[in-house]
Amino acid sequence: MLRYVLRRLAQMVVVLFGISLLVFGLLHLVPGDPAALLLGQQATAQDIARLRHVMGLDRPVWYQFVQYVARAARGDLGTSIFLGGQRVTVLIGAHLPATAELAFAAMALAVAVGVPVGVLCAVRQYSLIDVVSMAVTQIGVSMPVFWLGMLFILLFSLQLRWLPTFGRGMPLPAAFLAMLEGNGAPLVDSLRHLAMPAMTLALSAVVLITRMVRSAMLEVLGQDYVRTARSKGLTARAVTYRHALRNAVLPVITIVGLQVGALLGGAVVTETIFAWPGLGQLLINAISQRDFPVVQGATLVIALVFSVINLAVDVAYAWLDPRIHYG
Amino acid sequence: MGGGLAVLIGLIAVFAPWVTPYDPFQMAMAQRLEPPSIPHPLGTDMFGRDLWARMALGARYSLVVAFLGVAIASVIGVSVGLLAGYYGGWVDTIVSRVVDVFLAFPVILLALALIAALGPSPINAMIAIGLVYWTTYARVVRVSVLAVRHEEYVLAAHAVGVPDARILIRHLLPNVLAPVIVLATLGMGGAIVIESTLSFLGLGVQPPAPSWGWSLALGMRYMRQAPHLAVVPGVAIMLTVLAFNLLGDGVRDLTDARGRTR
Repeated sequence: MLRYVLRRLAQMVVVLFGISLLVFGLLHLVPGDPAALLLGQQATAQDIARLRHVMGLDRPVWYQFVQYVARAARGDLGTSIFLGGQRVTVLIGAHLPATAELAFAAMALAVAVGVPVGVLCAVRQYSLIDVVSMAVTQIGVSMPVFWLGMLFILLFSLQLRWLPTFGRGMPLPAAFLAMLEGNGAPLVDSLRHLAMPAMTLALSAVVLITRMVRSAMLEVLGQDYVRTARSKGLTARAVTYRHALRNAVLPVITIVGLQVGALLGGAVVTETIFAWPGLGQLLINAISQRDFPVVQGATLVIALVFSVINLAVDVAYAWLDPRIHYG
Repeated sequence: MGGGLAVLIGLIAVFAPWVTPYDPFQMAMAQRLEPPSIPHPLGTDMFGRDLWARMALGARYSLVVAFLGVAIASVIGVSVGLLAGYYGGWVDTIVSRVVDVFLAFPVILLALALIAALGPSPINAMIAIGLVYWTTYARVVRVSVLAVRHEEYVLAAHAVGVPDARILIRHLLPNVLAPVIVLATLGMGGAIVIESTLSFLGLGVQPPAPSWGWSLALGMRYMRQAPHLAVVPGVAIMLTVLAFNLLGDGVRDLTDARGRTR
């Protein structure tokens, strides 16, 4: 087990190197001179030369890359070109909690909906609920996340007037603390703001988890030990949840882990629709302003978080399933 | 069903100028934000332009960008996968690590980062789709080549001195095409979603071209007065993605069935 973890860690170092190379390379994919592009058409040759020097673009590419990695390893991702010269790490630090809150809420929602529906579909295969659920997942997988968000706004905000259209309430941990001190209003407000973005973001994960749980449960329910459990006279509930679901849940863990990455990607778009002040919104604004240090920093951080989660999922999988041997 | 729907949408895209009497760019401010009616079956937009005419032409943009994006992804992925599977060793190791690096980015994030660098345009959207999805093809082709590279016909071709390039193209490529076709069909759905997302964010097909994504972005501004603008382009995207997903499922079942009977 330890050898497996060490090997995965070594592989991850290679991937991290590749990620930083790709993110660093983004700036060099820019057609023409990035400094000239940033300064616009009125810039003089002197201005361009000065910015090239500030950005380090006048050094050899390999030197720029080594410097970039060395700085990134120290937590220095440069400064924003447009947002008042703020440090990129400070900007990311300010926006990351909102994205984490949204992604966590979406994942919790996806598991809370996807697992029971998947189990129900498997236990009652080909029943009305199974057929309807599978049709809904087929449609759900075909819906772009931003359109679903718009439909939610149309329904829950503009028609029913139940939920606020955009923005974020008090951060959830602070709202919880306020509730413990006897003031529940901020928590209600936070949850009302969180509801639509979380539902929007959860859709793709709900679809995948439902399908995965259904097919894993169908496979497990046909096994001999489930038949034995039934023939011992156990209740259907005990067989389903204590015997079948426990074994069916393993592949689901992998999907949940991989979906975190998709959620981080989906959050970029979802945050734009609901004006949710997270990393996604920071990234989209940076892209439209061509604020490269922020684009590179946000991309790097999201890819790093995704890689660490993937590693954690792999290790958890190896730990949870004693049948699997990792050399 | 998926195939029929995909063909229908393809025909609408090809014959876009002839499926409606209206010019998709012709403004008529007196008729702005009209709900669906008999003269305008899908209503009009904020400039009084016929939405059906714009959706029909939008199909052309979406399908072309997605199709060429998928083509770029499959050409890169199939080439890399063939080389990694056939040569193995350090070629395979390098390819596998590069694939790992690309997989470390959520799909839409990588597409956005590439567009940030390359600049917003339909051609760059195609390139971004290609660079985002090539890893799927590379992995599948690599595994397929690994399965057949020690078959007698490959060893025989090698023994009689057939050059590697010819073995790869004439002998191995035809054997890995079936899964590639399935992936490409299923990949069209994902590519259409990426294209519409980029256009929605103003980073894909540029206005005044009537892309579905940008139509939705405009529709979002008029949701109160004209909800149909926020619904119609989304339905177009969803039906198209659904059509290719169903078609992909069908093609997969077909190739699986052929595999079983062989």
